[in-house]
Amino acid sequence: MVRFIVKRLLALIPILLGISFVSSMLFYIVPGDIVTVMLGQHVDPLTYANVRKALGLDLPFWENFIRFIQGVFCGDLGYSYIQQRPVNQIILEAVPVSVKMGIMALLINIIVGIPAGILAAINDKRISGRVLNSSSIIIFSFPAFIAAMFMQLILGVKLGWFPVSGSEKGMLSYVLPGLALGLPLSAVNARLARASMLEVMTQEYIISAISRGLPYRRVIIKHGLRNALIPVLTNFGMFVGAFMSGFVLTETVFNLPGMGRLVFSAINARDFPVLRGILFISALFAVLTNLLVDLIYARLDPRIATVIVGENTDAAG
Amino acid sequence: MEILKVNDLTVYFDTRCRPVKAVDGISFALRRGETLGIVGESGSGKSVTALTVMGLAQSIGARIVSGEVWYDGKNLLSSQDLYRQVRGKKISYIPQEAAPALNPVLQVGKQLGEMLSVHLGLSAGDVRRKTAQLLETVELPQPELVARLYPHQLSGGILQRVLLAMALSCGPDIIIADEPASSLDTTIQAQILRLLGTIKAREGLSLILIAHDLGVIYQNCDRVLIMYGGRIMEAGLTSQILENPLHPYTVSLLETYRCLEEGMKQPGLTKSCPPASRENIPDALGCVFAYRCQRAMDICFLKKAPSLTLDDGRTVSCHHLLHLRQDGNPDARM
Amino acid sequence: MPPVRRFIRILLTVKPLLWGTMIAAVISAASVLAPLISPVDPLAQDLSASLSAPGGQWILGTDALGRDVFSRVVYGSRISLAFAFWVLTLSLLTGTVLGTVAGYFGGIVDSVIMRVSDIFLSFPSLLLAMIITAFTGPGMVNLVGVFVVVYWAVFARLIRGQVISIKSMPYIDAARIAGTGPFGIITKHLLPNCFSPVIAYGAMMMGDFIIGETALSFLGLGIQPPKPSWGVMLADARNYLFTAPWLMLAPGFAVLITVLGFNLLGDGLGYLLNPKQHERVGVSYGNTEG
Ligand SMILES: Nc1ncnc2c1ncn2[C@@H]1O[C@H](COP(=O)(O)OP(=O)(O)O)[C@@H](O)[C@H]1O
Ligand SMILES: [Mg+2]
Repeated sequence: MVRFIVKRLLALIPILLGISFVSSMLFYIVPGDIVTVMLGQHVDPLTYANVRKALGLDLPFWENFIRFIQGVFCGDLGYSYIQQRPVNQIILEAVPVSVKMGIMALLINIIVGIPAGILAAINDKRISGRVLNSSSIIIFSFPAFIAAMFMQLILGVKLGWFPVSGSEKGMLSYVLPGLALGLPLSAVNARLARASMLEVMTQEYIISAISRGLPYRRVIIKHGLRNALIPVLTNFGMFVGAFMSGFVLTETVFNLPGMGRLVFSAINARDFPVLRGILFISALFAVLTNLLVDLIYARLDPRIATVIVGENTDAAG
Repeated sequence: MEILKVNDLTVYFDTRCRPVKAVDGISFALRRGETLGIVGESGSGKSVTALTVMGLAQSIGARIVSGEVWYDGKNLLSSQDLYRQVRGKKISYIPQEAAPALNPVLQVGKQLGEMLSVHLGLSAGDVRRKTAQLLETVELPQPELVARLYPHQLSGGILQRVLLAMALSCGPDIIIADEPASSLDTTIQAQILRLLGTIKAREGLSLILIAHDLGVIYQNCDRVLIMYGGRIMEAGLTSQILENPLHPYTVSLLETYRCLEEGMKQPGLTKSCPPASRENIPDALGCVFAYRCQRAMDICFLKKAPSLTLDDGRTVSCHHLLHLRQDGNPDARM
Repeated sequence: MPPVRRFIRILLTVKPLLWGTMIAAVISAASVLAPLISPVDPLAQDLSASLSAPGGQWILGTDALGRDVFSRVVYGSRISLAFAFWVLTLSLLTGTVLGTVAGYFGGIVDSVIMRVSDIFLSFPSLLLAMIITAFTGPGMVNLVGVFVVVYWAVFARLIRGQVISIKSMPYIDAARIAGTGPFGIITKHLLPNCFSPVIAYGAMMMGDFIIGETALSFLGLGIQPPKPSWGVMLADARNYLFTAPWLMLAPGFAVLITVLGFNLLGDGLGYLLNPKQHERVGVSYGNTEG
């Protein structure tokens, strides 16, 4: 196990370097002059030079790249000239809102998705299983922001159950955003759980467990679920990525001041350092979650820590 | 005394084109304390028979068309509830391959202990003691260590013993063993069969032993069913049948076996016929073996052979015997 | 005509495939025949008819500038489908080339390609697309390019996995012994046999790409107004969500149904092309049967 962890940590290094590389590339792909794009045509020459220097554009790319990595180690993600504040401060302020929303979405995802998938698998041959399976593919086709607008319209306005905008009403403000983000992804989870459970239910050890006279519930829960949930769990890393993208859309629709809306406003304000910082942080977070998932996976499946490691470990979904 | 009786069991698999008749109207009985062998080449329906008797036909996607399984005065097939009371407790099943039959994410001791706590309601301490004791019964040298390991950490032979321990755990009346250890090497297979025989004798169990190896049958079984194409070709005392086969299928099985044993070059089995082409044969009106039988007559293709009980107690399904008998010479070849 | 009849029979037995094919066919037809179907020019404004409710002259109502919502939704399908088609083609092409090279030749080439794809896969994909587009600027061509950069790695991995598993099959060895060179083996034996999961996956990805385009256009990063992209329409509709909900519902359902169509298509194809699923016998146990 220790060897496994060390190996996984070592495998992280090239990934982190790669993420930093892609992030530092961003300033170089802007067509035209980046400072002009950021600050407009009529910027005074002194500011222009200062900003250019501060962005590191006076240096060759490689030095800039190294500076970025150094910055990351010191917790410095750059400086926003639009907001006149360090980027990490701006991001930190936005994090709590997104975390609350993410937790809400994750809860919905787990509470709705996994049981729905397992029930669909257990009742595969019955009407209820078919209905669950067909509805999951419909729900799964809902883009989060369209789901968000539908929910705003129906649950928020027509029925008036939940606040449709802002974050003033405490946890209640996060219900609709959490649903909009969590529900479509819970259908992904349901489909995965169903497929995995169906696969497991044809395994010989299930038939063998039944042949030993164990009660149905026990077979399903102890022998079926435990094995079926392993692939579902490994997919959780993917949800973190999907959440990061989903925040941008749902927070914009619901007007919640989190990381997602920060991306939206930074895009409109051409606040490039903020965007770079958020991209880096999101990828870092996704990578670390995947690492965590891998470690939990290795704990859950005794075959793993001895078998995989290295070559064919799939990074993200 | 018959402890288990199977009547007219018919089991189909509904495939896209037409039902596969995996088991086609077989009847047999298991007597208390005996070992009943079921032998036949691959695909002859042995495993499906065993699983159906265990009440697992639906679990493998099969459909029971007809049949009864009588145990302890009740027809088990009439209700799943009856099975819930006997499975694992009174009737145990040992599958062919051990590794896939065990849950990969649970320690083997836990899986064995689970049966003890579920069926016998033992406390945690008792479960641990009994687990170790059972593993010792099946001659595993370090029971505590084995109990703590996961299936992938153990060899096939050890896992097969663990399964045997599970089958024994609740003091069953009947054990159904489907080609136990046949995928392992012959020495280990022999060890496990010997162990099974010893335990059976000691505990006074009744055993159904499925095999495709006639040697195994000869050494271990009191009586034997010869199966082919989901039907019983011939049934009776092992010594009778294997020393003096009547059905052409039994004859050819034995011939093949002798060829293998004696290392002779001549392939024994009659007209070779790969299974794929057998599938294409329209549902056999007559004898399922007719298409491969060297002695087949016209009637063999047209009419199912009724099973005939001879004076020595054996049952044979073959038109030849019927003809011979009608000729007034029933025991022509005996 | 047996093949046609066989196809129809498959369609009828695999329901998701039937629905998926129908939806995809209808949407494709709508996008091709957009000029014939839509009653008016999607860009034509009629300020006197601003925000008319659906019904009567305007089937799906009009927007704030008095443009016909129905015509705009129909023309929107052109943008979405064309976008998804190009992204799929180009990322599949890139992914196939890189994935095959990696899988077939292995070694250092494989390591390099896979490490690079790992890096791309570790970013949240849609967020990466958004942020790159924020830097490169909006527009159809940029958007396609960005999506290919973001999604090639998915296909490369998939193809590589297939190539590796097929490469070790005996018939490949047989072909090699028979003197077929690497190029022949790749084009004649490997690629044709590794495409079936890719086809199903590709259909699913069409849905994702359509969502992606809509999302980016919604945020103002993709197709620019006044072009009738569904995302642009949804962004416009936000201001009138409560007064003129049809502005949101029409493109919203258009996206939903199109994505659903491709997902069903992918699901059905996946079922069809994965023989293991045909024989699936679920374990059912207990009271209902037996
Ligand atoms: N899951 C299944 N689906 C369809 N047919 C099956 C299935 N399992 C077994 N069969 C068919 O049932 C017949 C008997 O199989 P089986 O009992 O496993 O044979 P044996 O154990 O004697 O080798 C075979 O012809 C086989 O093709
Ligand atoms: Mg068998």
